[in-house]
Amino acid sequence: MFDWLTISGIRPVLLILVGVLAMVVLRYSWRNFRLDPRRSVFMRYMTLCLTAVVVLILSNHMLLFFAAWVSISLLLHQLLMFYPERDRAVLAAHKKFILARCSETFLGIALVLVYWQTGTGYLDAALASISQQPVGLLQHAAAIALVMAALIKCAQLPLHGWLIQVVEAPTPVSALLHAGIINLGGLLLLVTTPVWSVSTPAIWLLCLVAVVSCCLAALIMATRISIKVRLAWSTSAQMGLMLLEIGLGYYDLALLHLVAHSVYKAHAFLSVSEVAYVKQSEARSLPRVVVVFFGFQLACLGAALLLTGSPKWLPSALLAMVLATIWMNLNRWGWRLLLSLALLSAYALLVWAAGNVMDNRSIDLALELAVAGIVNLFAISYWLIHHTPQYAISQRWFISLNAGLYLDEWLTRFVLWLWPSHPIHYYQSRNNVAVKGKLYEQTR
Amino acid sequence: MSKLANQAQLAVARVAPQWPLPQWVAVNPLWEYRQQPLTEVAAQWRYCGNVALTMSPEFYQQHYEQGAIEPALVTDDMRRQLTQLSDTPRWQNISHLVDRYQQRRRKMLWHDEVVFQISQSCGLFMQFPRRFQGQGKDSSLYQHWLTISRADRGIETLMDEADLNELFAELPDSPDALFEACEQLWFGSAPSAAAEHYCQALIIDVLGWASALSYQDRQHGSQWLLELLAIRMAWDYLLWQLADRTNQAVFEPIKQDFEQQLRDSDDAVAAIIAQQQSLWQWQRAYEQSQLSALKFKPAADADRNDSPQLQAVFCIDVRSDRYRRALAQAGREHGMTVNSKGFAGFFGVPLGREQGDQQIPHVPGLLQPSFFVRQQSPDKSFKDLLSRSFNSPASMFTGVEALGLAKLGELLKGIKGSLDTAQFDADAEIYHNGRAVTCEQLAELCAQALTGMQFTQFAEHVVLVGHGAKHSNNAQRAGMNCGACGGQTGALSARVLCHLLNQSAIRQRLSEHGFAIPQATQFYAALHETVTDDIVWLSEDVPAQVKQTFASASAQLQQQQPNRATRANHWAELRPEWGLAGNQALFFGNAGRLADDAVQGRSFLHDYDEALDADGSLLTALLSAPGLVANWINWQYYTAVTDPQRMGSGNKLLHNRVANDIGVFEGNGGDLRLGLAWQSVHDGSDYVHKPVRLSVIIEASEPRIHKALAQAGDFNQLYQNQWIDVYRLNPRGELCRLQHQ
Repeated sequence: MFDWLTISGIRPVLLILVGVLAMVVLRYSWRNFRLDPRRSVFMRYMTLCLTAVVVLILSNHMLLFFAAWVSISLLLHQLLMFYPERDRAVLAAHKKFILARCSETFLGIALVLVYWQTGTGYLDAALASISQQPVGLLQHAAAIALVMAALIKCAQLPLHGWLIQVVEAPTPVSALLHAGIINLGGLLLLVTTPVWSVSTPAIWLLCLVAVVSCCLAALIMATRISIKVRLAWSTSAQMGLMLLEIGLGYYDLALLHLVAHSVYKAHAFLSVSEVAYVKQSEARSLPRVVVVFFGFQLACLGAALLLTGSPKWLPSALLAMVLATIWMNLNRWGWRLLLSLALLSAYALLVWAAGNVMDNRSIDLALELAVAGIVNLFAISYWLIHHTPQYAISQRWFISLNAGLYLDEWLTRFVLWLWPSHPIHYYQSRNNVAVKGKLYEQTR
Repeated sequence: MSKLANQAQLAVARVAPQWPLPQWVAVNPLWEYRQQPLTEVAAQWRYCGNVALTMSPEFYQQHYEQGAIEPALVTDDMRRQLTQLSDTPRWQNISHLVDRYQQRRRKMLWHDEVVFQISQSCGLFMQFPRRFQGQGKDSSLYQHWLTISRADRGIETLMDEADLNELFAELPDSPDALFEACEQLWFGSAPSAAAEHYCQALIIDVLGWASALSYQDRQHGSQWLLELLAIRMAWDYLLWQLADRTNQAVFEPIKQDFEQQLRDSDDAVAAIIAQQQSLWQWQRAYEQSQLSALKFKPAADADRNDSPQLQAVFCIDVRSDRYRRALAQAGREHGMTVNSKGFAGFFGVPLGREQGDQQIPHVPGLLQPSFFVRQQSPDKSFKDLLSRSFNSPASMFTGVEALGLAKLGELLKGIKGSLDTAQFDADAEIYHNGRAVTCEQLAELCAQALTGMQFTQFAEHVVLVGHGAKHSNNAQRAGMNCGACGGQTGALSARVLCHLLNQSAIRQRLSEHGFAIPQATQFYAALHETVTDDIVWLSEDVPAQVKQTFASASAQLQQQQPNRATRANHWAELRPEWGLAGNQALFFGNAGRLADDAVQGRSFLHDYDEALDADGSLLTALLSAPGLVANWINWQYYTAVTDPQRMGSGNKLLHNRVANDIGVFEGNGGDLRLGLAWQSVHDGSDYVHKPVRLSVIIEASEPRIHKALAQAGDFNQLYQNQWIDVYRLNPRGELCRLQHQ
């Protein structure tokens, strides 16, 4: 029986992370629902959902893994439908439900293919045996199916809409989803590297979808008007980056990203109603930012080459973006240096620590250059769109981005057609009967 | 100007403002309807927006059966009528009609999407002023919306209507042209009441944004609310044409219904007024039953300390009531004669705080601050910088990887409650009209405040007690603070006035104004922390005996309701305290008249002594200032209970701050929400706030009250039109209705 469970590889790190999150989120929900008549229902689904996540992390058998994967999504569905009288919440939950089934189908196909090739249902044995076999068509198919499952689970464009719209659920659900459950796509890829990392088509698919998602979602995020929706877009972008890092073979960075992002995002959601005055970013000269950015990028590339023997194109570009931002936002040299140094040393230390848990794969140079190119393009368009509203092109792009590039409308229409979200409500309003939400009705 | 444009102007003028979250204070959402009888307004709102201003028949029935409504107040007629109420007619905007007649079971509903789209456009406009408000207050919200809608490629897809973009392109380019076009289309021969009801119905559809923009318009002199109405009307205009163009089978019934209701709208409102009559009788019976728990002593038995050792001035807030009674008790135990007074929590000092380019008022919503304290804007802390680096697309990626774990500590501990105790240095300057004030101006200011508080003698210790609520992570936290201080805590006002009254130069000049403050008298500033009932001392060197008396009052209250510290310090707490829930009466008189067994924490207590108000001008002022503030608070709570969906801001679990904290959404979108959250008025099993209109009780003679009423215009309108009730407290301790003159 114990063969069905394992604690190898990155699993201890994830267990600790989920344990901390579970404690925080459950304690938070308990207090959040203090006088709510449905407190126990909420706590029950929350606890069950977290338990399923723990089982998934520990599972070493395909059946258990799959069962846990499906139950997480079904339990989450109950939490997303916590207020069934809210049309938009129901619509979002339906959309998520349909996409989750797609993701599961891909996962199921992948697992079946791996089982077929290796003849064992145990994950560790299957992965060990598959890395010894020559790469055939079946394995490519399995790899692509795994990548698709992860991309859908992590809400990558253009199948991201549900993640944005499920902020209709109570805050602790958002925290659980954005800090915990959404990472499972990353977990899936990190524990199955032997299957997909030898398939070039799968890697290119993963990296290209992820990088485009990551960049667009980040640009869209900055055009949105409400705090929770901004956070949701930010998650979509951050998941894009995590998948990108996985695809390129920076497993240490991906692991670090997973953990750090979870902590940050859980905190951000749980403190979402703390009113604080946030100053808007200033308009600034585009050429200056770009020069500073390229300067930093060159420096980072050089330093990486010197220290590690490879230029690390993607991490260097990302690091240069932060450094340029610090540089442009502060106006005292002391502060700039201090903060940059603090950031660099924290970053180096954490990457080193993560590197001890998981080794990197050798990196496909052409792919990384393509990705780094796109990221550079993203940085420049960000400064163009968000800091120089005086240009007409900036204004046009801003409006399109704000509308989410009209990517989600087709899916919404399809979901409504397939599964109407207002059956009762709709007929009552047709008959001109006033409808009051359940929440309010209970008390009469 | 067209007739319709005229009606639109009138309709937008009747929207009450809603303050942005950092200054979120209670507002009577129907304030601008005070010239009209309440029954009429209630019928209009029911008709135009399905908004309820009374409770449901079941509510009254239930309370009657439980004995919460006194049987003596209920007639057989009332009971019979309660069971015979039927559905009332309801105005349908065109978006509603399209949803009704078009087959949209498997599609997005128009009405939902229209509100969503307008709401997002407004949010964008307010969130990015540099981008979308190029011409400042003259920037056009309508143009902004038109640009976005014309560029949009999503709604056509979403709604499955191919002609939409063409129709957007054909929309009139200005609000005036749009009103003109709509008038020709619909209102050629319609009675003018129809246009009025139509404009009102459109506004109620987007009431949250309307209220927020009403605030903006009042602050900046913009016209955005009118443009919002034009946008909402443009959507109806567009849907009408869309139906006409694409589907006659749908268009014909819509046209018929709409034209029918244009003719019928006046009669419909009249019918609702007649039908609601019995509900209002029940409401009155309920209010009177509730009021009977508030008992008074005969004048001869009133507590009166003529030479107290300690005087304490509290805000009139209903939460002060319990503290003042506990303090009197504590005084008796500690052998200290205590006299407490009730006065608006800004202590009559119209202060504001200047921070960088921001001006934060510390006055009631109806006033403008005229004296300013300048303060450094708080240093950009490491925490701020961290949060910002996570929120900017350029820095968030590596920023989160390197620094995301820095949030771990706070994630584990949670955010503790915070309380703004304000800073005011002894040598800080106060500014008036941009110039430093003179000593004489300050003395005048103090004299005004002391007159208002009716100080005739000064005890050795005088404590000015502001109030504020310690908690965290609440978008509407300003609503828990002092409403008379513009949603801030009362700390700054208490500190400043104390500082001034302790200065010998000012005391000297005050004696010229008739206030002889003895040498021995010292003023102290304190803050009543309302979540835990603790006292936070803002002055140093407070005598131990004074501190002890207050500490024992706090201890007494904490014993009655233990374990409140967790509520103040838990970041997930949705109900740290009940705020002003339960408010039902405003008493102008000697608080010592309250009977010992009178219900606690449900009255605003404002000190008033008729003998010291020779010409009655003080009573007029009280009715016109605290009287109105209490009405605003009372009606905010009242409407949040009668109609939590439309006049409340919904579930706090779903609150989502919008557009630089102009307000909250409930969930993902929809209209901006208005008013109090569900959790602010309901404890999960029952309403904590009892929906009653404010009873203003005055301890004064009948002619004096009539004279003051006649001079207090707004208050008198509220009274004449049944928005509030007025009683006289007679010397025997009975509440008497005013005789009509």
